This record gives sequence, structure tokens and C-alpha cells, in this order.
Amino acid sequence: MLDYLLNGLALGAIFAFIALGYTMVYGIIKLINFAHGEFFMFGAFLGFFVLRDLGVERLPLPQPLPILLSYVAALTAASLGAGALAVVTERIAYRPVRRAGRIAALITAVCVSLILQNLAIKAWGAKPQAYPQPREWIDTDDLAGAAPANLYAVKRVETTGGEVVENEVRVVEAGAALDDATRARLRAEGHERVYRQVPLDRGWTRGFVLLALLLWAPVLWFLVKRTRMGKAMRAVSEDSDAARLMGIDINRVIAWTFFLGAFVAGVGGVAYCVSYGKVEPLTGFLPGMKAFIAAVIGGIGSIPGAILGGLVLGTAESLIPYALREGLGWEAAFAWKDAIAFALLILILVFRPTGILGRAVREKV
Amino acid sequence: MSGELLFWLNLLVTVGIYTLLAVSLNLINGHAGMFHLGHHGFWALGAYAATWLTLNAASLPGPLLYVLSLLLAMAVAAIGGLTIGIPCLRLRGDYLAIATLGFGEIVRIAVQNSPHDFLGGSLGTKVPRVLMEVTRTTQVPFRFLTLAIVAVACAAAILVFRNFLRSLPGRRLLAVAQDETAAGLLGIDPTRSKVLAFVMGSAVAGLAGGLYAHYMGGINPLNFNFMEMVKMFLVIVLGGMGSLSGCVIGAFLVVATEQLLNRAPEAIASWWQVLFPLILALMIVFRPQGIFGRKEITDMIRAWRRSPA
Amino acid sequence: MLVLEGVDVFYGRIQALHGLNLHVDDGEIVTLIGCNGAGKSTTLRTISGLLRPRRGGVTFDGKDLAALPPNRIVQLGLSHVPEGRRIFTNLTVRENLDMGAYLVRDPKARRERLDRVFALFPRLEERMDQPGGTLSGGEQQMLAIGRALMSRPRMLLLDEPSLGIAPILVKEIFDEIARINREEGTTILLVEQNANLALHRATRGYVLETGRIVLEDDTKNLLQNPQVKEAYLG
Repeated sequence: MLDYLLNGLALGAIFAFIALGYTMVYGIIKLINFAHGEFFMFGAFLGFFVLRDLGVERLPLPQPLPILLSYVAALTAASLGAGALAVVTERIAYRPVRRAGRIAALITAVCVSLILQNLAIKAWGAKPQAYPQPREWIDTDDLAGAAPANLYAVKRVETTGGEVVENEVRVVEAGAALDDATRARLRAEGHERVYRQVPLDRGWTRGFVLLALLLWAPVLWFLVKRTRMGKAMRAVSEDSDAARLMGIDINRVIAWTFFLGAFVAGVGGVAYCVSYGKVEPLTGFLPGMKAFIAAVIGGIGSIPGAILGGLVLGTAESLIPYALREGLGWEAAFAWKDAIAFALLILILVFRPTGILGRAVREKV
Repeated sequence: MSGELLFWLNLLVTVGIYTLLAVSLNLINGHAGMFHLGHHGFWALGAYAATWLTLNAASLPGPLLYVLSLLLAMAVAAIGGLTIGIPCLRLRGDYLAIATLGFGEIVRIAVQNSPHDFLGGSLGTKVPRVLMEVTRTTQVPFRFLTLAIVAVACAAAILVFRNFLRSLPGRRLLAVAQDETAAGLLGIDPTRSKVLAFVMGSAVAGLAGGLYAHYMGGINPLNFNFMEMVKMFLVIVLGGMGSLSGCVIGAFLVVATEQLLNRAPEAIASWWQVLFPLILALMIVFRPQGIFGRKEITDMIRAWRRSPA
Repeated sequence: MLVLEGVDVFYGRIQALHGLNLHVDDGEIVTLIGCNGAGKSTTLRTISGLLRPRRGGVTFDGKDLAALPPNRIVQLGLSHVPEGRRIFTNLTVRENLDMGAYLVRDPKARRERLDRVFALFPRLEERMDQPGGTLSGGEQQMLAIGRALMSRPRMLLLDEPSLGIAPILVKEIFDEIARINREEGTTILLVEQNANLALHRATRGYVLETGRIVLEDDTKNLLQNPQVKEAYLG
């Protein structure tokens, strides 16, 4: 039970990271940015490439610094990349339709989402790829006794398409003796250093995600409440014409909002893929939809609402099927968690469209 | 020769099915002005309802089973439309869009998780070839027969919708779409008008689903994903929101482009997935009224005849 | 200082302004009076860049405004207090004023402007941390004017400052407007439906009818003009 609750909260924290971007963008231009999930996916892919190819974890520093640094690098790349993609998308696709009405803008957003998904398929293939596990690098000379776990080396493979792919090759099995003969063999094969995979502890990843949310929430709160740009965002979201009369360049403010929302989603993207162990071009679709539901549950347009909504949805997705399984003996309950999320969305929309923390705004007739 | 004929027959049948989907989506989105993004859900409901009956009433004669399963498809989809329609129609604009999209996804998740012996689950299921009793083969005669049935269904649907839109309830619906508040002040019950449109639209989408299942001989949840929804949207945006004849042209353009591209090498064909959302986005920006706008082909012919020279 | 020449403005196909000519000189208070829908607000929105003229020129100190976005126009020293106040109701009074000084980067200059606005409208200082939406109509109008003053404009465009405000506060607000003009040398273009009030405070006036200027004179003369008397002062 506690385990399910913690899982739910960690998942909810990831939803919250994505929901923040939805809610900020909706707040400022009243657009359900369907492509937000694709910014998230793009960030996750960048993080994937950094973890797999950049080799930050090979830095000759005491453990666990190299591993931590590699994740910091992955998160930075993911956030900046997702932010940049969001800014470009806003400029090319959303600015031209900003005055064309909400429905036209929403259709455009749906199209952008599909286009980005399919471009990602073109670029990186449709198949899911394993998200790299943390690697601990060891000098061949330092090996002693028996191998505590499988040892791997990196092997670069050229595929028929001409692209270079890095593969993990097992060079020593767990428990095998690491005698001089083995060391000599490894060196002869060119393996100066080998690594072992550090198993990802679920408790750790959960803790990390929740901690990240705990750190990010006040930063965002500060950015939006206290900084000049944050105040301008709130001003534009309330009355963009009045904001223009203050000398606010609303295009810049909107671009920053997209950047900030996608930046945070990039963090969520890496966290999500680390938790699930894989990444694919469709990675963004379902979490994106879920995050939108979270934003609606919390009250779209409200930043604390997005965080609360994310946590509520994550917990509900974990605890409701748990209750159904334990209480009613329905074994397949977990397969239905996505349907539960959508049903929750419809219920919220029908009975309390302003969400938990949203303010009631009368639609203009 | 026969291969070429089969290709074009297949293309036309698919155009017909998309026409049914498009006219019914258009009734809801175009004429009734509700932004509905869950049409793939009704389509799936119809397809699965027809499949279920066909699997479970195998003792009936084929053609009878075919007709009954289509009727059931319409009924189930219409009930789906009613169930989702009543609570959601109080919502407006993008909220309605998201709620109906949620519905479409729920349908897909439901069939995906259904027990394998019930609806085939995520692997899909075969649909017994009940029309085989008439055509003996699934080649040319089968496609000809299906094409004839689909054509009749399209003609019937367009005729029914056209007459509906000219009738009093139809006029009420158009009034509600124009200005809900004003229509309400005139004593029109907006929710009733909208639910009616929703039920009619979903029934026809269900019919399209039934025809599709029988034609394909097998269905799986991936046939009814959100991409298909966006494709239907492209059809009605190309044809013009609110134009019935536009739907036929739009369906032809979209399906023909897709299928002709599919004959190209894979490297080119796969760009279709990028191309069609791009076309839709460009249409929305540069010609949101579509090719026909709200006009019908018959209006244009009339105008052209009347014009001197 | 501000010159409009032959300005045509359209909303879609409907023409709202027809060849409008208008000028405001340094240090003046000029008023633009007219009925509902005459095009008064449209004129101000065109000057501040929210609307684009289809034909004609708008210049401020010789600079062409017609092609500039609103944020650049504010930078030139022209501040617009829109109709209906349009304060940010979810932002506090202080934050509203900060938004007014969005383009003032120097913290010392911002502080000076803030002190000046609080000196003009002491009530705003009392309500500094309250959300703008909780203020009364009159206080909101003071906030809207104070917000516009934060950018230290050389010219202020005021759109219906008396609209929906208790009569007792209207006088106070108009006194402050006159004081701003006198003490800061801020040029003012005032749009008002309450012609009586406006003509008594301004030096010159224009009368706008269905998008055209029909009269232009010193306010002394306008107050005596029988047409104006009958149509607007009744």
C-alpha cells in the first residue's frame, strides 16, 4: 500500500512537471498546447543521447560524482533542448494563429504534435530504445578478485544505414575470476576501462523525482511571483492589450513562457524515461495527455494547481486500481489506469470545470 | 490488370467509408459547431459491435447477419453518443474537444484490454466473411459489392443529413450553432438540439465502423487511433466545415493521396504521416473555410448556370 | 507634439475613422468629446498602436508611430490609460505599478516614480499589497493613471476617466489630472463623454461624430457654441 502510494506520488510528480508547462501556456494564451508532450519527448531523447554517448560518467572523479554529473548533464541538455524547441514551435506555428481563434489554434497544436512525433520517428526510428542505466567505470588495472557484477565495454557498431550506434558488450560475467589472464585479455581487446551497470533502485528514483519537484516548485513560484518577467507573464495572461500598453513586448513574454514550461517538462522527460527504462517517439503522447488532465484537475492556469493536480492524478492512477484489485479481486485493474485518468478528466470537466484551485471565470458570450 | 482494378476498388471503398465518417463528423463539428475530437471512438464502437454480433450469431444466413450487424453497430454507437453527449455538451470549445478526445481514448483502451476471447484484446480479431455467401471470393466481386453497399450508405447518409438540416429540428440546430444564447432566448433547447446532432453523427460513424470491419475482415484497436481522428478532421477541413458535398471531395483527396503515396517507395510514403498534419495546419491558417466553405456542389452548379456567358 | 493626419481606421470592413486630423501641442490638455461609438477610443487605440491605421500618418515628435508596436510607442514617452481602467486585478497594487514601470530598468528611477505616484494618490500607498481587483472603481482609476505615470510619460492618453466612478471621486481625479499637467508638464489628450467636465479642464477641444472631426476650437468657444451646448452640454 505504502509502496503504491509512493509510486503514485513519484509518477504524479512527473505529471506535475509536465502539467506546469500546460498550465503556464494555457494561462497566457488560452491554448491547450497539444505539442507539449512532444517537447517532453524531445527532452527525453536529448537526455538519452547525453547519457549514452557523451561519456560524462567516464570522468576520472571519485564515485558517485561522475554518475551524478552525467545525470545533471542529461537534465540540462533535456531542459534546454525542450525549451528551445518550444520557442521555435511557438514562433513558427502558434504565433501566426494566435488571433485566429482558440479552435484554430488547438487544431494547429494537434497538428504540430503529430508532425513532431513523426519527425522523431524519421530521425530516431519508431522502436523503443532502452534508457541507459547508470554506469560505473573501472580501470582494468584496478580489477581484483571476482567481478561483483557483469562488466561491460562500449562497442561502436555501424549499422547498414551508416549511422554509428553505441552498444554495450558484456566482457566479464558476474562472479568470474578477475585474474591476470582476464586483465591481459581485456587490455588486448582494447578495453582500458570497463564499467558495471549500477542497478537503479526504485526507491532512489522515486525520492529523486519528488525531491526535484520539491526544489523546483519554489524556484518557479519565485520566478513567476517575484521577477519582472514573471509579473509580466501574469499581466499578459490577465489582459494582453493592457500589458502591451505598459510597454511589455508580449511576443517575448509568450516565448519565455513556452521556454520555461518546456524547460521544466525536460526535467520530467528524463525522470519519466529513467523510471520506465525506455524512450520512443511516442513517449510524449500519453504522459502529455495525463499532464493535461492533471492541469485540469488542479485548475488550468494555476501553477500550484498543476502541482497538486499532478500529485492527485498520479496517486489516483496508482491507488484506485490497487483498491479495485485488492477490494474486488479484479486482477486486470492496472491495465485500465489510463481509462481511469480519462474518466476522471470527463468527470472533472463536467462537474467542476475550474478544477480544484481554479477560479471561476465566466466565459464571454 | 486485376491488381490495378483491386487497388482502385479498395481506394473507392475507403473513400466511401471516410465520406461516412466525414459527413457525420461534419454534422457535429461543422453544422452544429461543436468541437468534437472523439469520432474515432464511435467508429471503433460500431466496428466492434458489428464484429461481436458476427462472431456470436454465426448460425444466421450471411447477408442477414451483415445487415443486422450494421444496425447493431449504429445502435451501439448512437448509445455511446448519447452517453457521452449528455454530460459533455454543457462544455464549450476546447473543453469539449478534450472531453470527447478522452472518450475516444477510453474506447480504445477498453477494447485493447478486453479479454482475448471477447473482442480480441490488443491483438485484434478476425471478422468472419459473411458476404462470402454472396460473392464466393474476397477479390473483385466482393469489393464491387462492398463498394455498392458503401455508396448506397453514403448517399443515404447525405440525403438524410441534408433533409434534416432543412427540417425544423435542423434549423434549430443551425441556430444553436450560430448563437446558443440567442437561440435559447427564442425557446430552443440547445442541449436537445446538440444531443440530437451527436446521436445522429455517432450512429453514422458506427455504420462506417461496421462496414469497415466487414470489409477489412479483421480489426484491431490501432485502426482507431487518434491519427485517424486527425485525418477525418483534415477531410472536413479540406472539404469545408459545413458542406456535405465537400466531405466527398475531401475524403477522395485525402484517401487517394494516402493510397497513391503508399505505392511509392517506403522512404517517400512514410512522409505522409508528416504531410497530412502539415496540410491541415496550413489549411487552418490560410483557408479555414476549406475548399467549399459552407456551399454545396449543387449551389455552385446552380450559380454557374445562372451566370451569363 | 502629436499629429494625426488623414487617419482612416477599419474594423474588418467597417470604417471607424474617416480622414481624422488632430494635433496636440506640448503642455496642452486637449479633449476629444463625442457620443458613444463616435470613434474616441478608436482614436486613442490607434495612437498607442493597438490598432493600425489603413491610411494616414500618426507622428509623435516627428517620429512615425503607425508602424511601431505598442511597447515601442510607450518607450517614446506616450502612455495610454485605457477605457474601463483595465488594471491587472490579480496583481497587487504595487505589482500593477511595477508593470507601469516595466521599461524603467534603473531601480532608483523606479523608486522615485513610485514615490511621486504615491504623493499624487496617497490611497494607493495604503492599499499597496492588496490585489487590484479589490479596489473600488475610483481607486482603480487612480491606479490606472498612476500605473501609466510610472513610465514617466511626456504625454498621457486618458480614456473616459470618469466612467462608472462616484461623482465625489471624479472631481478628485480630475484635479489630479490637472496637477499632473501643471507640475510635471505632461501633455494630456483626454477622451470624455462628460463633455461639461472635460471642456472646463482642457485648453482645446475636438468634437467627434461618426468617425469624423466636426468641430475644433478653444474650450472657451466650444462651451459657448450652440451646437455643442445642445448636443453635449444639455
